[in-house]
Order: sequence, then C-alpha cells, then structure tokens
Amino acid sequence: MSPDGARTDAAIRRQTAVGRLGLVLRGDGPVTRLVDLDQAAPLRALFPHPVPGEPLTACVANTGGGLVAGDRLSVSVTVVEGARAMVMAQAAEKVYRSGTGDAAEVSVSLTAGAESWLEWLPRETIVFDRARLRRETVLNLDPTAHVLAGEIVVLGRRAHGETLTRGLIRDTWAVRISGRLVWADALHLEGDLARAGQAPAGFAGAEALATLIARLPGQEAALTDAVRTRLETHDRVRAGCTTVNGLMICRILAPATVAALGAFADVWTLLRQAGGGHAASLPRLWSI
Amino acid sequence: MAGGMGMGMGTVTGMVTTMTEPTDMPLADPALHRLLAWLSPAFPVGAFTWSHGLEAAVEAGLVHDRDSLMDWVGWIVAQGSGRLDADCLRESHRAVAARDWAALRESAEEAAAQRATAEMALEASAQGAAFLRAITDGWPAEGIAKARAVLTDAGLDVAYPVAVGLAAACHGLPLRPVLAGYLHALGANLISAGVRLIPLGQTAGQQAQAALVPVFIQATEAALVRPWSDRGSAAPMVDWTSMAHETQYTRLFRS
Repeated sequence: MSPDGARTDAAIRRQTAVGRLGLVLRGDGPVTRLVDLDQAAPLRALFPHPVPGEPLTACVANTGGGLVAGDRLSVSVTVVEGARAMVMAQAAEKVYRSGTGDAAEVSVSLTAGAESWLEWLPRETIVFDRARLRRETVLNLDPTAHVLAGEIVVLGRRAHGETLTRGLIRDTWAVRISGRLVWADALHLEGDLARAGQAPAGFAGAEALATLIARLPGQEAALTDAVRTRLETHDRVRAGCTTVNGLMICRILAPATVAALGAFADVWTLLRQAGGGHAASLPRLWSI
Repeated sequence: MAGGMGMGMGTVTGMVTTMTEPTDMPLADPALHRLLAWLSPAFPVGAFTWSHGLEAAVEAGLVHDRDSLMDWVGWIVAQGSGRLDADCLRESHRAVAARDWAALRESAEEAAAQRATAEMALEASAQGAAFLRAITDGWPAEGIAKARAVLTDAGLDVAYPVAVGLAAACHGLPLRPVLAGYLHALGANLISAGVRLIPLGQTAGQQAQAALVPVFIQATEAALVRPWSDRGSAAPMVDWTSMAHETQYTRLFRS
C-alpha cells in the first residue's frame, strides 16, 4: 500500500472533527488590531511577524491533517473600521476518501466593513478519490470594502498517479454587498467524476481549477484589462476574467496544479498592488 | 452516445419515490400548445442571438464537428447551466403554484446571481425580460402580474428559467413537461448555433438533436428529484469560453 493509501485509512478511523475559528480585526488609525479570537481544534490561527506597511497577516492551520467524512470546519473573519488584513491558509488541505458516505463540510464567512481591506488567500484543496466535500464561502461586504478571495480545487494529484472516479465536490460562493446578493456560484460534481474531469465542457482534463474574486470598487474595468493582459503570459493554463455586478471573477484551469498556482499568484499580486497599494508579492509562507 | 449522461446517473436513484405534485399529468391540448409556442425558436426572446460561449469554443477548436457539438451541448444541458436553470425553473414553478412569494423571491434572487460571466448574466436577464413581456401581452393568466410585481419590488432581474417557471405555473402547466421543454429548447438552440458556427449541415444538426433526446430526458428526471441544496453546475470550461468570448475579435453572437 502506498504511503498515501495508508494515511487515508488512518484518517478514516479517527473521530470526526468539529473545528472553529473566528477572527475580528479592527482598524486603529494606520494599525490593525486583533480584537477577538475564538478557536477550537483542529483549527487555529498563527500570526507571523508583521511586515511594515503590509496588512496584518493571520495563517489558518488545520492541525487535524486533512478532512474526512463528517468533519465540520467553520471559519469566520470580520474586518471593521478600516482594518487591513490578510488571512491565508497555512498549507494545502487534503480531503480523504469518505468511508461513510457523509461529506466533510467547510463553511467560510468573510465580513468586510467600510474602507477595509481583506485578503482570503487559499492554498489548494486536494480532493482524493471517493472523497465527499461540501464547502461554502459567504462574503458580506460594505460597498467601500476592498476584498480579494479565492479557492483552488485539485481533482486528484496526477503526479502521484491519483485520478478521481467517484465522489462529491460541492464548492459554493455567495457575495452580498449591502445585503444584496450580487453573485453566487455553485460548482457541483457528483457521481462519475472521471467523466466530469475529461468532458470537454467540464474540466477538459484539467487537474486544478482556481477561482479568484475581487471587489475593488471603481477599479474593475481597468483591472480586468490588466488581468487579461497578465494572464496571456501564462501559456500552460486556460484562464479568463469577467466583471459581474461590480465583482471581478477570474478562473484558471490547468492540466498541472503548479501552473494554476503560478497564474493565480501572479493575478493576486497584481491586484493587491494595483487595487490596494500593497507589495506585489505573497508571503513567503505561501510559496513553500 | 457520448453525451453528458454519466454524471447524472447517481442523482436519479431516488426516482421511485411518489411524486407529491402533479408532474406526471398528460398535457391537455391548450397546455401543449402554450408550451410549444413559448419554447419555439419563433417566440420573441431572441434566443438565436446567444451562443452561451459556443462561439468561442468553436474558435478555440474545442467544438468542430457533429460529435464534439453533441458532447458539448449534452454536457451543458445535463451538467452545465441546464442543470442550474432546471433547479431555478423548478423552484419558481413550485413557489408560484403555491403562491409562496417569499420562495419565489429566493429562487429568483439566486437565479439572477448565479451567472458565471457578464455575457451569461445578460443572456439570462435579457431573455427573461423578453419572455415575461411576451407572456404578459400575449398570453395573460391570473397571477402573472402579481408575480412580476413581487420581483420588481424586490429589484430583481428575472432570469429566463424563472420567467418560464413563473408563467407555466400561472397557466397551470405541470412541471415535468415544462422542464423537458425548457431543456430541449436550450439544447436545440445551442445545436442551431453550432450548425451556423462550425458550420454543419442541417442534417448533422438534426442528428445531434435526435441523439441528445435521452440526455434531455435524463436531465429532466434528475431535476425533478434534486434538492435545492444540490443546485449548481460542473462546466468550468463553458465559463472559460464565455469569458474568452467577451474579447473575441469577430463575433456573430451576443454570448
């Protein structure tokens, strides 16, 4: 048995986890302060040394070593009163085979108040064969908030000889501005995942799908053009960009996850610089 | 048949349950005539001007002959926006049939927001608005004005599947044939676009449409039993072609 196979069975035997992480960040002049932290294992937040001029950064770690059937994780991030924060995943998340037919459930709630800046920077979510995942990401935004958020789904690791045959991948978004639903999306793959992975109108053989959502009030039109130009330099991905109801949506499909990550990081850094005046780079932790 | 049958298989196993609503009624003649008229290419919603990204898919060489067109269109109907549209049509039909205006608002809000790209959003809202105008003026029925007022008051664009579900419920049309008709019309419209774009002969187009009938049936049956919490689609390549279409140099279609 491969090391990963052994890991999968071990993971299935452990008890299901109910993890929780809540962060509230408040702006205090030019400084952003953590005013509330609520965490329950296996989720916890780590705070790397602040970089001058950069948003306060929090790393979300899942100490449970991946997701199995029945796990329920919920993350809530609130930035208020001009706070500037980046919340990033510490590592790629693995979703293991479901032995019970239940799904692992992940719920992410992001709330951004007036004149705030929030980045929700993911690592890839690697879905194993016969895994079942339901994830929802909900954004509630003030009209003046600036937000970058994303998710990256990997349909099995080709380099490890893994392909998906069956399972469930449900990944949904809902974005509200002043309470009004401006954009929603529901990726729902269920049943014959091999067919979905290969279908020309499905994933057309892509290993990874990255989604980047940007709310940068008043800058969408100019930045959409800039993102399109930047994406043209990535010739190993199929990527595009559009603007719907004041949100920029960028999608990247790639036959190799590393190519999707490269294009994703490139667009992200462009937007955090052009849209937020931050460094055109990502934290060193992200690229490990 | 290589069309998008596989993904739907797992979702149809619940079909043995007894339907609690009259989805199975045979269509009375007036109802059949309404459905044929509303979903005909001649109904003034301008369906022929939308390709749902197909124009870019042809440009990229992803769709180039009868079989690749069938595969592409079958997947859209069963697993792409056809899947999501069917969910929204079903919910709005049930809501209006029950005169549950809060449920109508919820399904209409979701349908309006569930648009992957700017052109797909316009495709859904332009056809929805045109459909409701034509129904209101030409095919009045009790309830339509009230349903429209509910959505207008909520400031919502009415997506095409919601408009069809709403009108069908007001006219007392049962859900199954409406879903079947909607999904067939969606597929037929895209095949017609493909025939013009690739280009293909009319015979090849009709062969593709006939071969996709099992997909249309399967998609209809799956939609009848699917829970609202499983709404969605699995066609990121279609989203990509729609984004590419926004900047395509030569365009015959609006999407």
